[in-house]
Amino acid sequence: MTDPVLDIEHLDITYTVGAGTFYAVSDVSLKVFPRQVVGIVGETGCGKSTLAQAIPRLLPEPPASIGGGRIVFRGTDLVKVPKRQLPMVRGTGIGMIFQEPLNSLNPAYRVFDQIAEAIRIRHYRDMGWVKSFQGGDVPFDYSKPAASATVGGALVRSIVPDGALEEAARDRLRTRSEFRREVLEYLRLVRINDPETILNLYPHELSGGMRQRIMIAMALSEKPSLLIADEPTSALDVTIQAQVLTLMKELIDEVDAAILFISHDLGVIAETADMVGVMYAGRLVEFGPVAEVFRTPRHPYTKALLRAAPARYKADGRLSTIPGSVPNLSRPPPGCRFHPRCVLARDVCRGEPPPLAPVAGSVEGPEGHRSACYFADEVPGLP
Amino acid sequence: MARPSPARTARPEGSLSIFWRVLRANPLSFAGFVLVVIIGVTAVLVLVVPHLLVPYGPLQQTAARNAPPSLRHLFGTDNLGRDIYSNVMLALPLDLGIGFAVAGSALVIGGLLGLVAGFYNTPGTLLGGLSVVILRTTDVFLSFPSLILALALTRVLGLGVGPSVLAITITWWPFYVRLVRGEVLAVKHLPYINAARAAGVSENRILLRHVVRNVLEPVIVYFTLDIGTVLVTYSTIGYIGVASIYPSSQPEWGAMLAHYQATGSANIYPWLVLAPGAAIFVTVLAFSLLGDGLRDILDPRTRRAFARSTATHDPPAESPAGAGPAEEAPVAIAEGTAGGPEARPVP
Amino acid sequence: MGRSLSDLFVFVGKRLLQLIPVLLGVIVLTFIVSHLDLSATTLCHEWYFKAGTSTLTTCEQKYGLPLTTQFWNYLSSLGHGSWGASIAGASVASAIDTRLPATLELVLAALFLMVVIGIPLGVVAAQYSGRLGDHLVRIFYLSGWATPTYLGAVLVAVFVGPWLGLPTSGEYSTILVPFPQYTHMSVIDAMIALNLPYTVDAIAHLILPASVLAFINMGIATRMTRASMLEVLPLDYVRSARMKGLSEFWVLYKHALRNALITTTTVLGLTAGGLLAGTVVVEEVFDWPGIGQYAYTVIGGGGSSPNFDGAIAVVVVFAIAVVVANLAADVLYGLLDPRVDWR
Repeated sequence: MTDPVLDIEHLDITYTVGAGTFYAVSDVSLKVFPRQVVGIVGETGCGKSTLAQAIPRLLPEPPASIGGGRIVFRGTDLVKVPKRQLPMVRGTGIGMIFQEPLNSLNPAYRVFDQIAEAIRIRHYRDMGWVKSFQGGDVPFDYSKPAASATVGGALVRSIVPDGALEEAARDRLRTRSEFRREVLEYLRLVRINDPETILNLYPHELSGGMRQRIMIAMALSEKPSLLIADEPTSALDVTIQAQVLTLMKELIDEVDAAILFISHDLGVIAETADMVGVMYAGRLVEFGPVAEVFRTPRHPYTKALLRAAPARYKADGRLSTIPGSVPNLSRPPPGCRFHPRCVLARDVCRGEPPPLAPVAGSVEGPEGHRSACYFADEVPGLP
Repeated sequence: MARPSPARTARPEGSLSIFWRVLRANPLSFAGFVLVVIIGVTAVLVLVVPHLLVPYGPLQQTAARNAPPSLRHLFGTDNLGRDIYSNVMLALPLDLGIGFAVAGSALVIGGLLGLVAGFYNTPGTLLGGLSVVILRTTDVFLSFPSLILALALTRVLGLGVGPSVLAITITWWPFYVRLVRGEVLAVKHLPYINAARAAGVSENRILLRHVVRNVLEPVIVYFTLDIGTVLVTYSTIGYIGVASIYPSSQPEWGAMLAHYQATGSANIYPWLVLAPGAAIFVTVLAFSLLGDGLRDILDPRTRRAFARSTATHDPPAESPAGAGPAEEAPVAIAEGTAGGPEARPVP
Repeated sequence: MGRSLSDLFVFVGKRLLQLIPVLLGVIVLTFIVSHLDLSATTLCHEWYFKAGTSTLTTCEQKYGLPLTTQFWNYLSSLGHGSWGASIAGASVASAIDTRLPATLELVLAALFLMVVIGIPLGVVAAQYSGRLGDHLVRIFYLSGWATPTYLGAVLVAVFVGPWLGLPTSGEYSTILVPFPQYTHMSVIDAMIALNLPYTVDAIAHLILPASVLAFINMGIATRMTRASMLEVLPLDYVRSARMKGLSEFWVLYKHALRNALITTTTVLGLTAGGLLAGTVVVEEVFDWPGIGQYAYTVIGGGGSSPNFDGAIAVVVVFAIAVVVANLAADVLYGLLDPRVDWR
């Protein structure tokens, strides 16, 4: 039983702004294990992006603040890490790709420079020239690439031939041409056909899909243990979205990182994730293996959400919706946050918020299916 | 696609209360505001009830010669016993008035020209041709450091308060042309203005009702900061010796400074120079603090963060400012000239 | 993408061409302003009243000609490089020749200080926006802005200079220097002559006047940097840079500032006018032999007798300098922002 790469325990995040205090994330706990793809799904404003950005402590600490809980990355609680040391975790520890490829690349620098910078950072840390993050007990050795038989795996391994780099290149600055070679390898890894030309271009000269691939290349080039993808395909049009998703699925096999995939698109999560967490109004309401959660949801919100997604075609009648609207997070409803809109709501729902508990028939522990509803058993009976 | 920032769209309800809250939140701009109010009230008092605040006449000689600041003579006296404090106080309405007058006239003249140059600039029409003329002339005027131009003009127009004020006004209007024109250009083709056009509203009416209101905000910021700049320019001209005469029955800060510095007594009796200098400094600083703070208030981001929103989701992230950089740049520069320490020749 | 070297020539060339009508306008306007008083007699009296009758008649002869002739004479003499003479006979052109570089040196030094101090201050203000750091920076640059140049110059020369032990007068400590002045820029000349003590001396003399100029005009750089940084910092690529593992310092200075600087440098170019106007007073107070000091005397400051030709020349030179600086700012913007097409 390996230790999780990421272990979030009872995390609370609030925003304090002039207009009041927003409880953006409340009491969220989840674990991500090595080589796992965990999806977080939910509507706009449910707190999933806040959660994603809070993990590497990217949120601006005023106005945001982490109220309580732990974010344990490879044994170290990131909440307690002082701000100055945070850069050490990022990049080679946790990598992140963002939603808007238009803005995510620095418009003033060429593609080559931006990817080379990422590689350089990793290189300096590997060489020990710069302090890098030392995790706690590391039961899983991330330094050795997985024994993957795919072409991609071979590609990744070829970039860092075991031992060769350490011996021959130790204590020596890499030349620009060596960087260039590695940058080209990573560009090919993300299936860019003509990487030599792309190298010298500026971001504004590239299409959205291309930019997103470069972002992925940039993030992967630092070989993070955990890759957080914050709605990476949401800003792309559907055909490009499909291409990038295919790419990501292939990369998941080839690359060793665990992935936390945030999206509002249920279909995207269904395709790529192993486990999925459903968030609503800042809380995690359901968590479990993706097939199970989507086929047999055990939370009324999840069920309603799935039902609301239109089927491939509909003969007649109205599209199904969820009555009511998302609560104002500065004044969240007491108890279960979904209860004002829930068909199963009863008095107890207004009291203590239901804990994320295993559902009947599911295994205990992180592989299991859990739901935050007192009446999880009744959900399958709902229309 | 970035949505138009609220500065350009119709103002939300309660903008005055938002104004108050942001003003109070930033201690510096609030301090500026308070100072400006105090200075204004003092100026009015000096004009209306001088005996209340001004103990001595400007030319009145007292027994205390070259006396350092004391309870009796708050800023000391000069070699003939004239009370510096009284002179400084009496100069306040004049200097403040000059600032407002020049900045105000420049605003009106330059603003009107800028509106025309920005709005009616279709080539081939009479007004379009006029726009080009206005623009070129403005460019030429703006090529001169304004102090130099003002000095050259005073040489021609003659000595004294009136001619100097006229000289500075002639130097000043081009800045407003550039500012207003930039703002008009930025606003002219916003979606909601196009919507008004589509609804059949005449161009003139659009100009008057919609464009002017949007333009008004940065112009007011600029104006506030300008009062200080005009003051500094005028006193510099006075220092170089072509504006007011001192001592006289109507003192002026710059002239006081020039006089006491020229007579060489500044080293020994620093209050002679420090008092009018400090008066200029404090006044300009007050207006600058207020103007700079106003500029922050008008920044749509600040306004959004402070608005009492019935937000049903996380506080909105900043609107991506990365939209259309190339065409934003000239506007940004034009906007960047909105007020105070921007491309303003400091005399 | 139109950003090759030949495109750059087109870019600069186009802007140089746009300069010409503005320069023409400048010359015309200067001429008009200076000849507004049409009567030759009053003009001559006003400007030459200390000179004596012989100069007076020459003057009346010269200025009694019809305006158009005068303008033509003026243009041709400008073109020939003879910009007139003062009463004492010193050629205006030679005065400008020797003094312009000195002012250039002063202005460049002030710009240097503004960039090296003002821009990081702007970054700090953006970092601590709304908090104490921001307020302190704001008080600093607004104080500079609110200080009239002469007041600042006089205070520094009279109080700060002696207190710090820095020289407050002239370019060097001696009137004559033991090496030829090729460029008329004090520090450069001393360096060319490989004369270390004089180089240090020149730098020491440069510090105070440049600092005064910089302090007063720094607000422009700081405020613009702060505003640009505040626009840039929330953008996604700043977060991407953080997520690469770069320290906050590099995120700010290598990624954010690089983009924020685009507008800041252009605004800096536009400060040329303010800096030049400031030199008029600063050079006078610090006895710096530049065009500003010349302008001060030529316009009649401090009771010196005004020199008509010199005044016109100075005004034209200043205007040309401002126009060139604006051009430089425009070109710099095109260079810095990779999204600008040079064609």
